[in-house]
Parts: sequence; structure tokens; C-alpha cells
Amino acid sequence: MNLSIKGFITCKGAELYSDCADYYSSNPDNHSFCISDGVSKSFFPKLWSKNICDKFVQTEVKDNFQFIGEAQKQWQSQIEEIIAQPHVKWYTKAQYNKRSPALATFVGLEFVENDLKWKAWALGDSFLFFVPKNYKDFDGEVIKLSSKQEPIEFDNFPDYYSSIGKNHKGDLQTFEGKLEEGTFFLMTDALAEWFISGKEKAIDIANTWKDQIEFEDYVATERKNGNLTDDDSAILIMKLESTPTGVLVYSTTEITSLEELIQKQELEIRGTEPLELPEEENVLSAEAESREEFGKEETNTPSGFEETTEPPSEPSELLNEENVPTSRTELGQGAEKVQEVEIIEYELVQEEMKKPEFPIEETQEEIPRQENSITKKRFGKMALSVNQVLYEAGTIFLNIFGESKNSEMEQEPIVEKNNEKGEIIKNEAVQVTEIESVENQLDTAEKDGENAELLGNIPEVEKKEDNPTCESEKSEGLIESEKKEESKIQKEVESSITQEKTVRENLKPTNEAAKQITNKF
Amino acid sequence: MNNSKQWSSATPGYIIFLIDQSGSMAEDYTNGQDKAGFTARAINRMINDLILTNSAGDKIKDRVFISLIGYGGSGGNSVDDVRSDYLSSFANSPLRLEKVKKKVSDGAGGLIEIDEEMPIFIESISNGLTPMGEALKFTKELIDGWISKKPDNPAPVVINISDGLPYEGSGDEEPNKTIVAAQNILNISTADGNPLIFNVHIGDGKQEFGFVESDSTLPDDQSKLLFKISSKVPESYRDAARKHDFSLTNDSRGFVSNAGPETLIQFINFGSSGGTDRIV
Repeated sequence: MNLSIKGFITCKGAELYSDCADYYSSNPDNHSFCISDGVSKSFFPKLWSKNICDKFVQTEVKDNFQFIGEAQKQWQSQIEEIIAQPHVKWYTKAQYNKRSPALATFVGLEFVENDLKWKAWALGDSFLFFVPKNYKDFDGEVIKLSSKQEPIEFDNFPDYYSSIGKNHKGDLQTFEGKLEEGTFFLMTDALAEWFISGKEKAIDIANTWKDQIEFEDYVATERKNGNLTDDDSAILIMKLESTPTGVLVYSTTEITSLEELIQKQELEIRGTEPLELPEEENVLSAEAESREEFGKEETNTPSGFEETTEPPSEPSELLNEENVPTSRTELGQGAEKVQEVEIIEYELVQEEMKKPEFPIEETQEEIPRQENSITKKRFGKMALSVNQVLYEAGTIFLNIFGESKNSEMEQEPIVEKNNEKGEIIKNEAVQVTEIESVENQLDTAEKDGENAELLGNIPEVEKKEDNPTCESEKSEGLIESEKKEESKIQKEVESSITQEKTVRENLKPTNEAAKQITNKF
Repeated sequence: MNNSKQWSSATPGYIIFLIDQSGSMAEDYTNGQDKAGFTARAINRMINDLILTNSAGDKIKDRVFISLIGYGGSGGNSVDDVRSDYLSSFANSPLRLEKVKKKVSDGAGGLIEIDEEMPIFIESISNGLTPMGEALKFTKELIDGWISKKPDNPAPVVINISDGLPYEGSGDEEPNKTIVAAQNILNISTADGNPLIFNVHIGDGKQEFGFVESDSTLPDDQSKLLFKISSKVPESYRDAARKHDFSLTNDSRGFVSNAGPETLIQFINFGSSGGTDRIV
């Protein structure tokens, strides 16, 4: 019998070939063919679907399904190699630690030449169809094989083989038939759904695909029209024609290689020759490179960060957390920068504390709002500044909006972040944190009737008020002068409150802030 | 069916978290954690789950864009973009990683202790007032921008987490402003239906209320306000709600008032489920 084979494969519309988790294999030496669809939300499904296909077509004795165990061993070995790499991502490690498996569907087909029969196995929503030559009725004559039960509905939860242990899902389906003229179609779920829906028309169309380009053009059109789900799509088409001899002869073979598609695409993206690496590594490296090119920027990943050396603590769950985490791994540069700024802030606070000529008792309370020690230090500085204003009639208080803003706040990020957005907001936020501290203190003082105490927390004035002897000796002129001074201070405080409210308004997010976000869409 | 479009790399979903970072979020909540700290950890944990769910091993599929918008966190009536990005960017650059000890199966029937790394994306902040209306106004701008660029994508989902009534510092206009801003969002039309707003109020141990059809039985202004600014739970999300142990009817609004810690976690997970997409 003459056997012509065509095979085409493509990825989801928004992804790269290197993202494709479908795979197929064929082995003319033992007349074996296989197709598999890796479940995209599982752990390295691409490796798993490939291992299933390769091991199936390589094995001679298929009924005992030992090839699954061999595929599992290979997958595990590949994963260990990935995890052992120095810059493996934290989420890759997390899934490895959880022993997350890969999952994949499976359809296998074998021609037993001596017996002139065929055998097939299927688990999941990938399908085998056999369309006899000269068939008349799709529903009555076309053989369908998968583990999906009637009525067939496609969803995100197919049966599968697991790459770890025996946690497979579903019941393996098998079929045996006589080798006769006709066409075998092995395909993954998106095409299977289209095929079942299109029936005779779908058969005719599939038979017209001559090469990968025609196949991809058709898939793209049908996805756009909504007639084909935008998913990885793979199909093997094997046409059997009778010959005088019973020997299977492979007349034409047009099977697209996924690895070649990946390499070619990488070439187009980078415009350079691809690296000379073994096949599996090529796939992984191509993926890593192409990810950068497609705008998914590889920002500084925390894989090479320094670890602190805090002692381990008991395990903690979200609701029952008793301990802080055992250690923190900072983004190296960011952590160093914050530490450096904290030191500068501390020094500035110390200098500020030196300014008053007479001793001042710090009366501010610890701020419980933030754990950020920078804020606490800043409040201390501001409280002293307020006191200074009350002493020196307003000049220094205005520094809240002047020197303080310009000299301290610009040096100081609030959050350790790598991106550049929101700097304006952050600066304003730092500014408002200080203003808010002062405002809250003043508001509290006014509400609680402590205004007089707050405003009067001036050692010289207090000393004089506490000393009736001194007061009685004041001249009228001096008393008048003091009253004028208090009035002036009061006005300046009111002015600062007005200015603070204006700043508050300025804290509302601007159109620019929204634009910075929408630019990322 | 509205709000049923699945998240995919070609048509990612959009979740906007509005996070109350007012001073009152410093109050104790559970097991030595304050409200702000617990909320931050719940959000960090949820994003971690999203990353692992949408990971194919060494690459994260950008099936969702996430905005973390804090209000009050920088003091006063501030509204801040804490972070807005695609999922893979969150995965590739968390603020830091924290190590916790965890016991996992060794595959042979036993348990081994491992170091698990938990990513941190948002810090605990409790500072200013509660400009919820302003935060919702800003959210509308984001949603308008999303729709103009992604008209065929799933309708955005807003999850608002707060511990109090909206307050801007003077007067009592903020609640009305909040209602108007929310209505403006709920009235937006997309190819996938209206955007969804789900609200959770962090409680103080009082009885929880939520997912009701009518506000007639609600006991206080807080829960009545949440009712007014919450979407009806669409059919595509009802299974997700039930999976997370919420009882609801066809006309239930997606909110919980006086949420305890467990309810808060469940609500965040429900709201970020993308409907049926993440149910396994």
C-alpha cells in the first residue's frame, strides 16, 4: 500500500512557535504515528508532549504502555537539568518544589503490516479520524477515536497523561481496524472541533493543504472569522492507497518540523544565525531570547540576589502567621540604594535637631501609620520645624514647601521598584507625608483644644507665662509686641493649612498618571 | 453571555485592585496582623497564584493585566498607582522574595521541609484618608483607556477593598461621589458586557453581609453603600462564587460587608478568577 503523509503545526495567534505545546512524531521504520497536546497551565507541557510522542514512535511493543514511564523519566531528567541552572526563575523553582506535573493528551497509531491492520489508542481531546475512501456519510462511516464521551463538548479540562506518577485522568480508548484505503487524520482539539463541526467540508479542505503556508493561511483566516479556536493546532494526515503488493511504501512525506519553525522564527526575530545547541536546549534558548524581542522586557530578575542570614522560623500560613518570614532577598541594587538614603536622612535629621538655639523637648508621638522608619524620622524633623516657626515667626515652616521638598524628598524613593513610572507622584507623596504629619498635629491640637499648648510650646514664652513675676514686669509695649507676634504666627499657620489643602488637591491622580498606565496596555 | 470572554494571551483580562490605605487600616485584624498587612499579604498571595497558574514552566503567559491602585496611602486624599503591568512583569520583578518554610510531599508518602519563596508586590501601608470616589474616578480613566486599546478583550474587573466609608477630610460628599463614580464605570459598554465592580469591606468581627439581592435587609450605611456600587454577579462568575463558598442567587450583588480574614481571601480569589477560567 502507498502511504503519503502530511503534517502541519502552528501556535496560538499571539504567541511564538516556541510556545507551542502541541507535538507530533512519526517513525516509518515501525509505522508509528503520534500526536499530543500539552496542557498549557501545567509544568513544562511542551517537553512532556514531545517525550510522549517520541517514546511512542520509538517503542516496538506498545500495548504495555511502558513508553509512558520512559517518557516520564526523560521529562524528570530534563526538569532537573533546568532547575540546576544558575538563573532559574523563582516561579519555576516554586512549581518544582510543589512537584507540579506536566499534563498532555495522547493519540497513537500503529500499522501492523504483517496483519494488515491498524491499532490506535487515545486519551484526552485530541482525535483520530479514519475516513474511508468513497465514504458517503460522515456521521455513519467516519471512525472517531478519543476519550471524550458523547455528546462531545470541548472545554479546558481534557483527560491527560501526567508526567509524574500515575495521576492520569480519564480512560484510555483503543481501536483496531483493517488496513484499507482511506485517510487517517490525527489532530489536536482546536482542529478536531472544527473538523467535527465541518464534517465533509472540513475533510475536503484538509485534503487541499499542500504545505505549511497554505495550512497557516487557512488557520489564520478561520480564527479571524471565529470558525476556529485560537489555540495550538497540529494535524497529521496519512492517506492509504492500494497497490498490488501488501507492503507499505511511503510515497510522499511532507511533515513540518516544529523545531525548524522555531529556528526560522528566531532567525527572523534576531536577524542572526541561531546558536548551535542540542535540540531541546535550542527550543528553550530560543524561547528565552524571543521573549525579550517581543517586548516582554526582562527586568532585573531576583535570581541572583543576595540572601540575608536570618535564622529559619516555623512555617506560617496566611491566616495563622506568627512569624515574619525567615529571610528576605532584596533586589540587590534597590536594597542598597534604600539603605544609603536612609543613612542620609538620619544625618539630615540630626543636623536639623542641632538648629534651635535653646533646648526643645520633642513631644511628637511615634507614628504607627507606616513601618517605614524614614517617615518616623521625618516626622521628628517636621515637629522640630514647627517649633522653630513658632519661635522664629514663620520662616522655617515655609521650608516645608521649599527647601525640604527640594533637598530631601528628591533623594528618597518610597518603594523599591525597578520601573520608572510614578516618580512625580512619589515625590508629591513624600511631600504630602510630611505635610500630613504637620497637618494632623495641628488639626488634632485644634480639635482637642490643645492649640494653645501646641502653639505655645515655646520655652521662652512658657517660661515667661510660668513666671508671673516676669509677666508683671513686662512693659505694655512688650506685651503688645508679643501679641502681634502671636497673631502673625496664627496667620502663618492658617496660611500653611490653606497651602496644604492646595497640595492635597494636587495629589489627585493626573491624566498623565493614567496615561502612563494605559501606555503599557 | 456577558463577562464570559476567557483570558488568553491574545485577549488578556484586566483586574484593577483598589486598596484602602487609610490610617484606620492600621487597626488589628487577625493573629497579630493589621488590616493593611493582611490585605497586602492576601493580594500578594493571589498574584502569586495567578503567576503559577499561568506559568508553563519557565515562562508566564500574559493572560491578565493587573493594576494595584492605593488610596490614602501617600497621605490625605492621595490616589497612587502602586503598580500596573502584565502578569509576566510582576513575575519577573517582584519587590522582593520572602522565604518561608513549608512541608511538601516527597512523592513517596512522606513530607519534607523546603524553603518556599513568596514574592511581594505590594507593601502594607496605612496612612491618610479614604478617597474612594477619587480612586473610582481614576479607575474609570484606566478602563476607558483599556477599552479604546483592547475593544475585543474581556470586560475589566474592579475589586475594591476598604475598611470604612469614603471620607475626604471635610464634608460628607465623598459617599455620593463614590456612588456616582461607580455608576459611571458600571454603565460603560464593552464587547464583553459592562465592567464589574466587586467590593469587600474589612470588618471588625461583626456579622458578615453580602451577595444579597436587595439592600432592604442591610443593617448599616456601610453595607448599603457597597450594595449600590457593586455589580450583579454575572452567570459566568456564579460558579466561581460558589466554589469559594459564597451563597448567591441570580440577582445577587458581588460584595461582602464586615468580612473576616477567611472571607477576605475567598473574595479576592473569587473576584480575580476571571469567571470560569480558573476553576479546576
